[in-house]
Amino acid sequence: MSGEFAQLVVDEAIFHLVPTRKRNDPVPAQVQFSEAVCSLSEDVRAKIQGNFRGVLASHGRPVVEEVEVKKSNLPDRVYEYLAEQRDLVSVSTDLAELLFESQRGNSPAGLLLVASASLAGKRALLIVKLEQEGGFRAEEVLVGGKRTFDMNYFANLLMTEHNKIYKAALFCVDGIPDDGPIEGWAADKQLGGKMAQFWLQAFLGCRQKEDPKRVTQQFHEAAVDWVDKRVDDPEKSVDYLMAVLVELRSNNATLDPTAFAADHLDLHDQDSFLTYLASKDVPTGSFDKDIARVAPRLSELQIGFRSGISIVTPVNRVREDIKIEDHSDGTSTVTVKGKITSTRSHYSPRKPDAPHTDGQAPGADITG
Amino acid sequence: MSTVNDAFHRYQAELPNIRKAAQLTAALLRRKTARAHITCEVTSRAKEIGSFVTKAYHKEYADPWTQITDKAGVRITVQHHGFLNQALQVVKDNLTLVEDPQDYREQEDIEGQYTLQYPRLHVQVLAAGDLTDSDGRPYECEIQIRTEATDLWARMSHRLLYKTGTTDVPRDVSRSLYRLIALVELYDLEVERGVDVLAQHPDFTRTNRLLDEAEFLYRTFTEHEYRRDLSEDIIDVLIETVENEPDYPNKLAQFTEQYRQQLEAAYRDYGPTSELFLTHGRYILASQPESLIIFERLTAAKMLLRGVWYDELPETMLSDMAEIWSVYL
Repeated sequence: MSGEFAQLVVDEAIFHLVPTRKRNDPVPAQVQFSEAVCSLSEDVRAKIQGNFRGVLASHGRPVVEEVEVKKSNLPDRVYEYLAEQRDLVSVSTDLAELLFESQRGNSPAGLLLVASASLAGKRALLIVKLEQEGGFRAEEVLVGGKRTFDMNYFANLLMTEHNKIYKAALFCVDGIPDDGPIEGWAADKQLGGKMAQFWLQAFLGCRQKEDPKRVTQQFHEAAVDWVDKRVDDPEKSVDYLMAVLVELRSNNATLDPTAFAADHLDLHDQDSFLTYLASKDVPTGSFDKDIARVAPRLSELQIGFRSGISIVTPVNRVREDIKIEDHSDGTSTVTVKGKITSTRSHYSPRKPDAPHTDGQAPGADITG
Repeated sequence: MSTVNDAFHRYQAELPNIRKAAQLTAALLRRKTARAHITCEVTSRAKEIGSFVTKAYHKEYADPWTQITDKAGVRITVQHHGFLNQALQVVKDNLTLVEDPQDYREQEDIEGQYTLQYPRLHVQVLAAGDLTDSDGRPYECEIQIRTEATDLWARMSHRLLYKTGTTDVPRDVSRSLYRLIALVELYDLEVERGVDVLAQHPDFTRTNRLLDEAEFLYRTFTEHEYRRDLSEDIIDVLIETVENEPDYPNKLAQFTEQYRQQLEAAYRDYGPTSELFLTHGRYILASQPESLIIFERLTAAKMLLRGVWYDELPETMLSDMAEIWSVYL
């Protein structure tokens, strides 16, 4: 399907200037409120719309109102707007105050953009914190009758093409039940997908809907399952599985399955992988990683054969000590290099006795 | 006097609806002819008020409102003679005919006269949509089906032979203008032959066919011109992503129908008539027919598209399209 946010349409927008909140300032800073929606020309409206479709698609995460420990009144204000109890200007003013209150002293000044929008035709509210950036503009001029360019510096640019500094949230009327917490999406482009707590909790008053432990477990299960079911080449299977385990064991705080696919899978396998993840309700965009539930499964890799033979190997020895050679008849030879230190009887409660099919058994060539 | 006057006032009042009925009919036929792979242009018009009144007086109709049947008009101008029957079939299959088509294409042969005359192919139908006139009756629409060459001749003759009103055109002038119909026939046949030969030519590659398929579908959204040279560069890359797709044209057509509403919105905001394109030249591929293939690939095989694209084309072009379609690459 097309992206979830492809039907996001921005209508009107209003900006408020939210200054840095310095506790020791003799004259406390104040929010500079707009009193009316800004006039958006069609090109500006469409560009803003396009930017946020992109940001939400790449960094948007489902969020839900935090009801147990209420940290912000923003969900109430969002409800009032979406339920058509208050208008955009009035609600946006409250949101600017809330953002100012929720920012820490080190949070830079910025503009709060609040936009009336629709998502698939349903009333929606888009909330964005923007920070101004610097940039140059070259303008053609004539000096002494000769053509040249003048360079001008601007320190107040917004949403430049490769800007990585903004945070966004979107709430739709579909996500505001009468008797439950409101739901929506939040994105933080600044921290590579890891959401700033002041934005998510202190300002939005939300938490991520998906439990990182559960999502990480789902990713692990789906990825391993996909390798098992969809990858025929044994050598490639091991490579892919190794990549999954290494990615999960890495120190990265987030995991991005789309980037993972692009980095580690063959081009013609990438779409199959992401489609499979989506079919198992695993996000294909970035999510917070927490390996608490899968950690024990990340240290060993098992290679199983139709004959019932299986080889279990520590992940960190696979590259060096295991060699797989595929044959044209579909069998493979696995060579394990190392010094044998023990042989013992083994009982696996999970598997029945495997059928013994000599004709299809692989050659297990153990040397060393 | 009062009959024409009444009809004039009624026509004036109902003109916006008549115009809308013609537009809806043209839009329907534009989509249907594109789906039938008929190379054509579909235009619509409502009869000008002055033209309506002049015709009412000139023909001395007892009931001008009813007897003037081309109040709403649609013209299908096909590339060559070979598409005429296909276009007629599209009209028959998708609209309710009020009477049998007026098909004079071979009438002279039937009567054994072999004279040269305008090959009239007109169909009177009920207009698409559910608009009705002040009597509660659905509007009618006259569909004219012509080749490009015939259209050129017809517009010329309309100015020189028909619009002169009561003045008789000298016979030698009239005869010389009708003699041009022989050239029209020759032109049509040569275009048809050329198109057929080209379709069989090995150089008319799969790339061209893929672009043609995309263009047929794209024309159901917009009639605006596009940059053919850019299309060829992009299609050369896109074709690498559909090599393993059996019956891709059918898949593309299904995609277009499934996402028609969303595509219409995308072309409105970012396509050839958008401010972003007209003022800033951004989202250029949304003004190209291959945009349909890009949107389809972003939906069905975004990673393959990304991998192939990044090796050969500027990333920004694709990221702009991914932004419109809200797809994370």
